[in-house]
Amino acid sequence: MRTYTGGCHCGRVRYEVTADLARVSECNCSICTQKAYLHLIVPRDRFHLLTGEAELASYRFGTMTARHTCRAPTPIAST
Amino acid sequence: MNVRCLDGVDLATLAPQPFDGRHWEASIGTLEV
Repeated sequence: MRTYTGGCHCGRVRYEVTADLARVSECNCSICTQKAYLHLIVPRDRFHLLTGEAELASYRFGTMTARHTCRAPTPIAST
Repeated sequence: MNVRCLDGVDLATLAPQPFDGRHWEASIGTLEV
């Protein structure tokens, strides 16, 4: 397990996550296919939003279970 | 979260496992976190 930094394309949203990249998955749902999203699900306590909380939005579709967070052009995370 | 948004990750080193998100509720239990 290692700690990584990341964020959206414009740089307003930045975060830190501790994860094992061996757990990456490729989802076949409509939004992941369109966005070429590579999923990594981590427990909430391993994700730390550093900046940009005001930039976040929420988007749901289909069964409305997964919440995708994107105000910036690049979807950065789903919860 | 989207691994493509992480800094300095060489995507060529990853071996993503397939996940059937089209049937998310049935599949989520199979995903290792």
